[in-house]
Amino acid sequence: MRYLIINQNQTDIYLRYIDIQSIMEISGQEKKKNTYDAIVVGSGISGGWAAKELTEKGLKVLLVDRGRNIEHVKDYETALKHPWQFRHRGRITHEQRENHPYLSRDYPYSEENESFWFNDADSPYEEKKRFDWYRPNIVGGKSVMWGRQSYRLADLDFEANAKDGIAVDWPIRYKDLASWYDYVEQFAGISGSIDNIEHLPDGKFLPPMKLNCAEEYVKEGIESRYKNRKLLIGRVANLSVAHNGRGQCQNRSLCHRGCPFGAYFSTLSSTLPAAVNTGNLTLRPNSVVSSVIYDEKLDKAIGIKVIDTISKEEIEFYARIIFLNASTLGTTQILLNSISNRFPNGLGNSSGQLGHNLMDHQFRVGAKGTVEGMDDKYYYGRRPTGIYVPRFVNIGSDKRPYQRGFGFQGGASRLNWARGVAELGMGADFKDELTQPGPWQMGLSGFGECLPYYENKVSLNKQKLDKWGIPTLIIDCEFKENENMMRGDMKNEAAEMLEAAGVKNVHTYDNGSFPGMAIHEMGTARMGKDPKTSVLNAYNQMHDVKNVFVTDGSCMTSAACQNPSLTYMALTARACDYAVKEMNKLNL
Amino acid sequence: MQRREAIEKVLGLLGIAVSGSTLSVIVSSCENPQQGASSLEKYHSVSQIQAKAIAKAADIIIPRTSTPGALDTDTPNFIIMIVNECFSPVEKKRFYAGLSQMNKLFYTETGKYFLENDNEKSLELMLLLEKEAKNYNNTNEEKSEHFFIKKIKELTLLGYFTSEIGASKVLKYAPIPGVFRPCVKREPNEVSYY
Repeated sequence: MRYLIINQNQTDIYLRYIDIQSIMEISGQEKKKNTYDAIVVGSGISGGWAAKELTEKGLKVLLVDRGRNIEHVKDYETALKHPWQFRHRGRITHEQRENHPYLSRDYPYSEENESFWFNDADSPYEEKKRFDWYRPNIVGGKSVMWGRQSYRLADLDFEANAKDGIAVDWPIRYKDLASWYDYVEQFAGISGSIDNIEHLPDGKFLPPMKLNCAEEYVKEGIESRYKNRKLLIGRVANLSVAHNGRGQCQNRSLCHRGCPFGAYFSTLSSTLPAAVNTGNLTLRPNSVVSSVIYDEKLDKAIGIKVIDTISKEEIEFYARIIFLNASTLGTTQILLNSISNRFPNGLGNSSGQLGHNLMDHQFRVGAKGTVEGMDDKYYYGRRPTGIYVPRFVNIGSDKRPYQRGFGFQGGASRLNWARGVAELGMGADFKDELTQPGPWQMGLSGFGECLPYYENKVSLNKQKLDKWGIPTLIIDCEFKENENMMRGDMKNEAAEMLEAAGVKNVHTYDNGSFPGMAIHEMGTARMGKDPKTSVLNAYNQMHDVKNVFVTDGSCMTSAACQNPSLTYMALTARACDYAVKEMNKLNL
Repeated sequence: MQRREAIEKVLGLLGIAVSGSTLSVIVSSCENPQQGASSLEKYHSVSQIQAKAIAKAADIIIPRTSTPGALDTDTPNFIIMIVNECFSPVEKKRFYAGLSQMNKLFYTETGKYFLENDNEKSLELMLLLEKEAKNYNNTNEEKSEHFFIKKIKELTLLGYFTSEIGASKVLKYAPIPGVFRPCVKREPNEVSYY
């Protein structure tokens, strides 16, 4: 990789790379060398896109991330390890659990990618009610460990708040975003099928992954018995064919360790190399942003305050525009901590909405059962996606006693040796049985929309500072009546559909779902038409501070029930296009 | 001397390293192994007898047949390591207390301690204990022997099937499948992929 990485002890290298001609004239040599056209805070899914788009449009961009630097392929240290090469075979140690009190409550934090995650103890947060906050600690952020499911939102989603009279209306509709979905999909590489579903629009897809025999059987069963329900292969940011110089998926399904073939979309495999190729990018890892600097006379943001996570030195960087992509709660934390006379409650917070309307998806509920008569069938390889059943409730004539809806994810597989843990048995016969593939099991697991509630919120705890002296967050968020009613329906519908499709031994489960667990947190700096009731406008631009853009999950006005990352990508590319046009018009 | 060996076995399973002189004191003064249990937390290392018992349990759960067993895959040491490094101190204590409790149940049932029973009888009693653990309905407090039997089985399966021999010789292992074939014919008795 050719990009420049700077640390304070590398300023000599760093100076050589700065194109002095492009630097805005802010007085003083120190300011000059720390001045860029644009700053992007956070290098995850949306920040990587912002860096790519802005550098490709010719801006000199500083990309900062609180995490340590890791390089694509080279630093995926566990990617090619065999199961037996993990000392704890994937488990985390008691000591790691002690240092990661929040992360260690669920499976994404494991020995297989332990070093990608943030040390909770460095910046603890207060939970009024349980909230699972998954923080990465690497360049690339959660784009390295994400689930890669990629679905478009539709007007069913963009119109929902207005139709239901809930929260505020989205300031955009599907037509505003459609071409940007096209654009990001073609670069990222999303595999999927063309299904002609109005509320789950088709995209510019690579060839779809394939359903296995049991999934084909269940698909046939569901689609023949329900007129408006479909079972699709998951649309996923894994390459079914080589794409844009990246390798085809090898069906290892070890994506969360980082892919040595670059076969799934991440900042590191895709957007960062593109940004680097422009020669316009400066990357600064180990840099946590404490606040955005607002100049009252100019009535705009002029830069950011960064704390070097290693030296703890505070450094200021300046730019004409600032993109905040520090993750939903990360961005919100920075804005709440950016205090001025004009904005005593957080930058761009004249609406009072900043930090409110926190959402996530609810999940971990559904049903499973066995598919019989296929004992002589098996599969080869580990496909890195499951199936998807698009939303079918509260659409057209379907009416439920709750608002919005859910989709199902899941799939079929033959149970492996691990089934033996729950089964009774020990000894020679038991062992032999476990070496054979077990029954085919088919599961459907709901992902449900959560409404935006003003009282689901985060705030700053100025009494409790983190390792770098930054106020920590207090999170107060819960699922409510609408979510609970939907949850029961998710469970029942899953079971009914499986039974209708001929699946046997169907049983339901509800493993409980706390906000944050789906890692789809969003909504704390929402978009809207009215500056009095929203933080961002239709272009993700702050109503109050025009040269600040927020394009991570915090911008979301409602949650829909689809996995949101693809929408963040499209919104980011669109906002970058708008920002640069505004700069060229000298509006910014 | 038989009685002395028996006490040695009990104490060993409690995690107490025994010297000849302390043993005589205990033999003469203590008929109640509970007194030993209270001092368990002081001992972090696993006694040789505990290690032997863990190896025997793993061997019973996954024995050597026409294919390798738990003892061929270093699974006993893996179990001891996981209990040491991944269990909380409370879980670790409960695990070894459960082993000791199972040992007592064996004695009550057969008049012989766990290590003295043959593998056939041991399998029978371990299966009974597993069943009892599954059907035990008191959610307030799990019995330590139930915790032990569940964990030793889980860790034996984990250690065995994720070992190099288990994953790649007993099962089939495709580290880089390359392609995904969604529906292939399976031959009778064809082993599964890891």
